[in-house]
Amino acid sequence: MDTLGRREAVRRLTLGGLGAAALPAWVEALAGVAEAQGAPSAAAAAADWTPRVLDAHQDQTVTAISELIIPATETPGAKAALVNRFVDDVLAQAGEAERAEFLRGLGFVDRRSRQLFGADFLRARPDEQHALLTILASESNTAFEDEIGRDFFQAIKGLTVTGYYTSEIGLRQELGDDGQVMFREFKGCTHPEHS
Amino acid sequence: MQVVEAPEVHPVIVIGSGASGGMAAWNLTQKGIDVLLLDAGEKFSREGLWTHVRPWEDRERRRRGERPREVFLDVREQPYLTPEGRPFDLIRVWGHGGKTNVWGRVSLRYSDLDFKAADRDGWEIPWPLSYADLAPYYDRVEPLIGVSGGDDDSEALPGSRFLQPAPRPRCAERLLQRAGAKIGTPLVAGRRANMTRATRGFPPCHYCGNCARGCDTSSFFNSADHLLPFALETGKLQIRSNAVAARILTDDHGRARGVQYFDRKTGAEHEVRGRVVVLGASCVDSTRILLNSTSERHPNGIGNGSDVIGRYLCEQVRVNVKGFLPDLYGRERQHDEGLGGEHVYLPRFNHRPGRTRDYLRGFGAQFWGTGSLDATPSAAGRHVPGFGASFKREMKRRVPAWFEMHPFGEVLPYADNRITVDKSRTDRYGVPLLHIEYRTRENERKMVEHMCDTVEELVQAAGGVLVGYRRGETDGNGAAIHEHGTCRMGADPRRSALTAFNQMHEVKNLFVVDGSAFPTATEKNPTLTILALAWRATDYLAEEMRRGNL
Repeated sequence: MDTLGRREAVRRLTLGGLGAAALPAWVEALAGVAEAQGAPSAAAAAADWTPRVLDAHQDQTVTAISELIIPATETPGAKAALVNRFVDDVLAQAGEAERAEFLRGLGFVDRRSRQLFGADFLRARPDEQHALLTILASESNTAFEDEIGRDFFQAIKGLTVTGYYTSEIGLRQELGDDGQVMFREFKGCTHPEHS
Repeated sequence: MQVVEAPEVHPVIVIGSGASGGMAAWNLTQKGIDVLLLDAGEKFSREGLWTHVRPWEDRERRRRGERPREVFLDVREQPYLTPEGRPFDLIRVWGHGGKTNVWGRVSLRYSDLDFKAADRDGWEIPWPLSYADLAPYYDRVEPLIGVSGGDDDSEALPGSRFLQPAPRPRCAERLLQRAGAKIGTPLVAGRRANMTRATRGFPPCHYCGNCARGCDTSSFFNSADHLLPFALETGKLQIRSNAVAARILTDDHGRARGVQYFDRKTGAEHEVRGRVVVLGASCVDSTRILLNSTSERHPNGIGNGSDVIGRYLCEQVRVNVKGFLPDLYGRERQHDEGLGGEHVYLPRFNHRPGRTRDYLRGFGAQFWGTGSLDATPSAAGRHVPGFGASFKREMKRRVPAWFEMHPFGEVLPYADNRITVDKSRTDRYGVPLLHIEYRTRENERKMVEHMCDTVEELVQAAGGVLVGYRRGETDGNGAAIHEHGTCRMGADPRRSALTAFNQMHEVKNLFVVDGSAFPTATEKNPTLTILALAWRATDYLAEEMRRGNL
């Protein structure tokens, strides 16, 4: 196949387009900390929990954003899964530079929110919050001024996903895992249409 | 510092207790030969593996300050050097059983496609043995360690006679298998040293899928549980733990007379004497020991008159791709953990009639990470766009459709892919550090192109989509953890260090039985072949001892 034909075939084969953009190193580094599960528990629902990295306003902002990313539906969402605590744990374990980038991004969200809606993210209306995250989540938004915010969104989305889907709420209630970990036999694929 | 010297002369000293050293110690003691086994660590606890700990419990435990068992050697304890900007990931386990405690367990016989490769293409030296020489040992290793797999033999992957039943494939694996058959690159059942039947008193696999942390029930082969206890039962084995071997000591004739080691706990220097030394400290560490074993008779390191030791370091080149198979969107979540790795394998096919290639040697592909696993949502999440309720719904829909594909290709042996020792930089015992210089080249680049073509064709045939795909991107050097080649066997003593029985050409009472003995890397995982070669070598060693030749 010629190069152009090959490129087109590959483009059709890939989600996110040809040569999918790599995430910034600091976003990958935070994801690495989260996936290594090196973060001490977020699950501990201790009433006296206090964040180690985030201040109260930052913690509430993280809680709000994570709940917007994975909201309560028929099953509980990120807030109930205490994803904010997971995020704080990851930040506490992360390197200084990654932590600073994340907090810079968090600050950007408030700045952008004030610019657009005249209020911090937490005080913006739900539809305004949704609109701002939509801007930051958009793959077609290439505006230089939003670069920090776009990277930040990828970072907090990644942490929210890992925190949520490794929680009991995420794995058992949402994905329907029955909690069994040892099996007498491996059933594998039992669908005749797949053979 | 005072050197602690023991007067006793051991019939055989074995260095290392992983696949190669463990097998050597086991086979020799079964034959009634007394063995002193030196290992750089201790027996690892089988407690605290956390194999059945779910992620949320995992975090809770860590919060309490607990940690799972850790087996990997900390590079700060034993540093190694690489050229600026050319890293090499060296993964080491110092302790009884070595890397077999946590190995990937993929057990693929080599065939004459592998052993005879250099005879056909002329690149570097051929193996001094053929499949027929090693097959009887594969036949014995597989029942001993318990390998499961199918009966779908081919010229690329022979010899399934002794395999235990293979587990069924996962849904995504079935779809990939169907696609492979359609485009003429058939996937076979995976072959893995996970026991699916009770074997030698060990219970079968319970499919928790967390083999990478070790096994609570020893249901996959590891040398510490499956070989060393049986060797100890003979009364012929003595294990010395925390003995960090530094040098092979020689006599005036250049023959091995013993081993210098340092106590990992106290730092004390020791010397032990032996009639025969068997080195199985894993490819890279064995090479360091050999190169540091200099003497008047062996100025370049013991047995290195040919200057091949340290050269021809060959690992494997690997591509990692991920994606979704939309046919499986919205399926119910399955328990896909299984053997803790794929249940299918794509054997090498690029040599088959009607195929052309513009590079030497070949590749196969593995598929670990495929299915709905604890880690799947985390990996998949960044490739599901958006946020909110629709995102959450889409995640649930797509997670069961996750697949991964990992082609492994042979890296040719190159003389300047090389391990050396740096006399100006030493470890805590004053022993020169390793320096690893390694890069892949044009042959590998072309092979990676073909790997990517193959991935794209297979995924297309399966109706799949790739995510985060960057064509041509490869894993880091060393990431396959399959180092070979730096003390290779061969028929010609000017171009190789060992005979076909892993015996040094220049030092008859020194055997090197780990991956360093392999003249080529092949595209396959080496441990099964290391076990077979170590068994064969120590059969020969025992026979030579009996005849009075050693």
